[in-house]
Amino acid sequence: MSDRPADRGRRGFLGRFGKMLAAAAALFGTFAGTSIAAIARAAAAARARFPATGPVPGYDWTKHRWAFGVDATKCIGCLRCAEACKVENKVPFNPHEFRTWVERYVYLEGEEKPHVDSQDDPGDVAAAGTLLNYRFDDRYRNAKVEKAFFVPKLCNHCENPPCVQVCPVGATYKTPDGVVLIDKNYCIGCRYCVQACPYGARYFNDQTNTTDKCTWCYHRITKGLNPACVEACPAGARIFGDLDDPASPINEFIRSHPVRVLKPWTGNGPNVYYNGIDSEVS
Amino acid sequence: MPKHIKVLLMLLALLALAFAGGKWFFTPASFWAYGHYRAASVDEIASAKPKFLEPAAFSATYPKQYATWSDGIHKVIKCQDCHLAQLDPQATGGALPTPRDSLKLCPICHQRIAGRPATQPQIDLASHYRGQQCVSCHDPHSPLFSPAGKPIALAAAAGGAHADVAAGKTVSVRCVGCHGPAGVSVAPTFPNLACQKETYLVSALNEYQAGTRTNPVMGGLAKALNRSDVRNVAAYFAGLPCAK
Repeated sequence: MSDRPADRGRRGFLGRFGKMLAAAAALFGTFAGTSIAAIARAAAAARARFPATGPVPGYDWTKHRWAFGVDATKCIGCLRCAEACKVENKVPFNPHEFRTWVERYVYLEGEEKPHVDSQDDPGDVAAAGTLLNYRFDDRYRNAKVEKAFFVPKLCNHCENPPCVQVCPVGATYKTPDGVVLIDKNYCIGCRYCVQACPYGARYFNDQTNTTDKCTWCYHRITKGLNPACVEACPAGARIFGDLDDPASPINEFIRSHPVRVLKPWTGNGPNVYYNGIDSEVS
Repeated sequence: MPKHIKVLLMLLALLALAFAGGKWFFTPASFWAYGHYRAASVDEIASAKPKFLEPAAFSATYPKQYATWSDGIHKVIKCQDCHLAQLDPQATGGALPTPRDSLKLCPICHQRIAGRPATQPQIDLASHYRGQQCVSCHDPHSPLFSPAGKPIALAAAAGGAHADVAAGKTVSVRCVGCHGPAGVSVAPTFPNLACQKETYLVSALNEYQAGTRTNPVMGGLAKALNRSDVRNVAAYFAGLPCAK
């Protein structure tokens, strides 16, 4: 370090510091610019290899906007949906890993809060007697029930999915046709998304060591079929369709029922519309 | 510039290069094609084969059951709802497993429990089946009919027995005052019952019992009959020779 008076003191230090800062900024800028340009080039190259109609051959994902309806007034709690889903999507057959499930809300006389159970409740597992089937038990046989209903649940495929926001690697994403998917080959199994979902729609599949959740049976809907749970439901409690198609069952359902979504105040913009539930369901 | 600063800067530059190189090398080719994800993964998901199949897929393997099902009230449920399908039908060549215990299977939908909508047909397990398998009275593919294809009201409601004509004759003493001892009525305002269709008689009595058909005399008389009385008396009158 020089001993000249100009180099000493605050002015000298600030001058040298400024120059160094400028040099570092220039260096970093060049680097970042090159990197961004490289990423943009790679993206352009990737885009060129995929059609604008989406990566699924024979299916145009710009032409659909999928949505789901649940009519709780029709659900009989038979859990055929949950079993069909497991078969369809290779979900492990145990009572704790589910892509879709059904909750039972029971209000007893004189009580304000409902009793809630699902098929993973020990009583219901015992009633089924096997891990391969699911059913609700008859625990309210001798109780004074004021009101009771079943609520099928599944991923809400939100407009602004918080699970997608927290994924550190881009293994989960929302497609233009409105479905939130998980890239199983890219998921690192960190489970941030499981924590981020306010609906508990994601579970960790300990056979694949990745997160898993409902895809609205993307492999079926892209072939013009209904999701397996909709197909399996004997009561017509599950409705699926395309919001962009005025004749679709989902539009018919939304038009003709006072539907609500779960936890609308979170701002996630859920896409599963419920009829026949009350504000205790969330 | 002092040496240690130079070394530090070079180290930083090396790290930045390693980062950029890693990013370039490890990013999959289809990343960024549509967004911050692997575009190739969409088709990986979409190309899975459906396993929960349309009932038509099983019509060739099970033509008889398919025909019965197509015609019945259970048309709302699909093959694999009951023929549980942890077995992948594609793996088993289209064969469906037969549920072994209908007493366990049918109540999944039809046991009376809190929460089921009133429109769903529900039974009280303790009083309805009395230990028999559901399928001994109901054809599971069309449960309003017996496995032999008879409407359930006429089919063996209790234990698979046929209607008891002799018991029906005993019940008929309540009817003959108006409808005549031989089932031929005593006045033009009363219908003949002799050789009337059995199904019609059962459904008429059931309607009087339910109140969907009303008559000041028949309503009271019908409500005094139990299910086997109805079946037996209907069989008795249906078996009498027609009026000349």
